[in-house]
Amino acid sequence: MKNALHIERELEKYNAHQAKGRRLIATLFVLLIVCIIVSASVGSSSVNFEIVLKTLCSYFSGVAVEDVYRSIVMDVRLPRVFCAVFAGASLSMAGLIMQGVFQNPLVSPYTLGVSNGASFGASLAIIMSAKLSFLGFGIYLTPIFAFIFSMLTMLLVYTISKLTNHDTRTLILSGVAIGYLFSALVSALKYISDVQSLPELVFWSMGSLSGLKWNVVFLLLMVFAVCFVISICKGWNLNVMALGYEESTALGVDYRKMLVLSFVVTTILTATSVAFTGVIGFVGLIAPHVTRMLIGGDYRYCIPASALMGSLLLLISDTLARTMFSPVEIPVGIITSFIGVPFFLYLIVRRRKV
Amino acid sequence: MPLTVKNVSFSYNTGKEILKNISLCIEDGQLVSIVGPNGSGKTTLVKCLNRIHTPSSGTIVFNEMDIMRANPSKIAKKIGYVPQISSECTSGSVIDYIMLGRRQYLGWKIRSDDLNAVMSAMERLDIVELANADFAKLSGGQKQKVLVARALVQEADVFLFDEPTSNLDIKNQLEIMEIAKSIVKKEHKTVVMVVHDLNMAAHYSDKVALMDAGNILCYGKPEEILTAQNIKQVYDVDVGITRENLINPFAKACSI
Repeated sequence: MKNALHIERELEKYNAHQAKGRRLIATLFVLLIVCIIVSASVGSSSVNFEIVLKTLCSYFSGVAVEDVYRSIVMDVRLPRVFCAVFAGASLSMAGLIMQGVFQNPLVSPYTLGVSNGASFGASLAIIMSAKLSFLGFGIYLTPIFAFIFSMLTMLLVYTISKLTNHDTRTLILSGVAIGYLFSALVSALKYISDVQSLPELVFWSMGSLSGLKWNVVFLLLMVFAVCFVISICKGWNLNVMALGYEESTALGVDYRKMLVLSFVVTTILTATSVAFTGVIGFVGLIAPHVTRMLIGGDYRYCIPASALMGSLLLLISDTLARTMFSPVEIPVGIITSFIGVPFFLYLIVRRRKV
Repeated sequence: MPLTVKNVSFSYNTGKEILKNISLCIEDGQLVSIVGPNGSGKTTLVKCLNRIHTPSSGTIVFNEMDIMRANPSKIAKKIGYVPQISSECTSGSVIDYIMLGRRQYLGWKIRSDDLNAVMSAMERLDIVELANADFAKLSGGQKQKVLVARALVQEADVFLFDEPTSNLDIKNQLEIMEIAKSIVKKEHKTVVMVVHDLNMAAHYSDKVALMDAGNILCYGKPEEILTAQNIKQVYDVDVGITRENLINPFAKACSI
C-alpha cells in the first residue's frame, strides 16, 4: 500500500515534468508568433504594426493598402522574417542532433567542416562570378556553389570516416581537418581577390539574411519540414544513441545506420541554411543547450523546442541587426553571439546555484 | 532454449586475436560466471553474445535465432544487457533512463504498459524513490541497480552482466549478486556474468567458465573449475580453497 502510494506520487512528478516540456513548446510557439509580428513591424522604413496588419488583412477583405507598403511588407520584411525562422530552426535542430549523436556538447552544425566548404564555394562564386556566368545560375550562383561545396566537403569527411567504420571520433577529427583545409583555401582566395569582391566575401562569411525572397523561404521550409519529420520519428532512437555505440546496440538500435541518417539530415539542414544566409555562428551551438537546460534531454520534446528556440534566437538577432543602427546593418552573426553568450552564461550560473 | 556458441573468433582491426575458436553451450535457467585474468577476453565474449562486437567467424544461436544475422532490435528483445557503470553518463531522470530499455516496445508516445513495466522493475529493485532523480547524480550502487532495471524491462530471456560489481563496495556487490541470482531462480531466466571476484563466482554461479588468453580453459560447476591447480595455471597465484557457505546478511533483504 505504501509502495503503491509512493509509485503514484513519483508518476505524478514524472507526468508533471513531461507536461512542462509540452508547455515550453507551446510557450515558445506563442513567443515566436509575437516575435514574427514585432519583427515584421519594425525597420528603417515607416511601415508599422498597423500597416503590416492591414496588408495581411487586405488579402482576405477589401482593405486598401498602398503598393509601396505592400511591397515592403510582402517582398522585403516577411520573406526575411521567415528565412530567419526556418534557418534558425534548421541550424538549431542540426546542432541538437549532432551534440547528441557525438556525445559532445561542443559540437555545432559547423564542426564537421560544412561551413568551411560552403565558404570556399561561395568565395569561388563571388570572385569568379564573371567567368562562371555561362552556367546561367544568375543571382543563385553563390548559394548553389556554397551548397555544392558543403555537400562535397561532407562527402569527403564521410568517405574518410567510412574507412574506420564510422567511428565518431574519426568523423569529428576528419571534419575539423578538412574544415581547416577549406579555411586555408578561402584565405588563399581572399589573398588573390580584388578590392571589389573582398568586402562581399567578408560580409558573406559573417552571415546575413538581407535580400532573401519567398522562393528561398519555401526551399528552407521544405528542407526543414522533411528533416523535422524524419528526426521526430526517430526521437527514441536519438535518445538511445546519446548512450553511445555499445549501449545503443544492446538496446536494439542500429547505431551505424542511425549515425549515417543523422549525418545526412544534419548536413542537408546546415548546407541549405548556410548556402542562403552565409555562416551564422552560435545558433546551432547555444539554442540546443538552452533547450536541454530547460526541459532535459528527451529528443521527442527537444527537437521541436530546440527548433523554436533557434528560430527565436535568429529572428531576434536579425531584427536587432537591421534596426539597431538603422539604416546601417550589422552582420547577424555578431548579434547572435552578443545575445546568446550572456543568456547562456546566466543559465549555467543559475543551474550551478540550484 | 540454450545459448550455443560455436567456434567463435574475434579480432580487432589491429589483427590481434582476442577470442580463439570458442565453443560454449549455456543451458537456460542458469547463472554462468565468466572468470579469468585481465585481457583474457571475458568482456569481449559477452559483447559478442548480443553482437555489440561482431565475431570474425563462428556462430551464436539462441532459441533458433541466428545472432550473427538477426537485426539489433530482435536481439534486444531476447538478450538484455547490463554494462559497467560508465563515468560518462548522460543526465536525465531515472524513469527516462530505464524507459530506454523499452525501446523495442515503445511507440512514439509512452503507453501506460511501458510506464507500468518501468515502475514494476523499480519496485522490484527497491529504487522507486529514485524515479525522478537525475541518473548522473546517483551513487555507484544506485546506478548499477538502475542499469539492471533497464535490462529487466527489455523482457529478455538472457541477461548479460559485464563486471557489474567491479566499482561497488561489498554491500552493493552482494545486493547485485542477489538480484542476478533471483532473476535466475524466480524467473528461470539465464544470466551470463563477467566477474573478477572468484569467491562471488563460486558462491552464486551454477556454472563457471574459466578463460585464459582468448580460450575457455574449462567450463563446469564452480567446485570443479575453481581449483587451486586451475587458478595457479591461469592467474599464476597460489591459493588455498575452503568450501564453506558464504553467509550473506543481505540475501533476504535483496530477494526480489
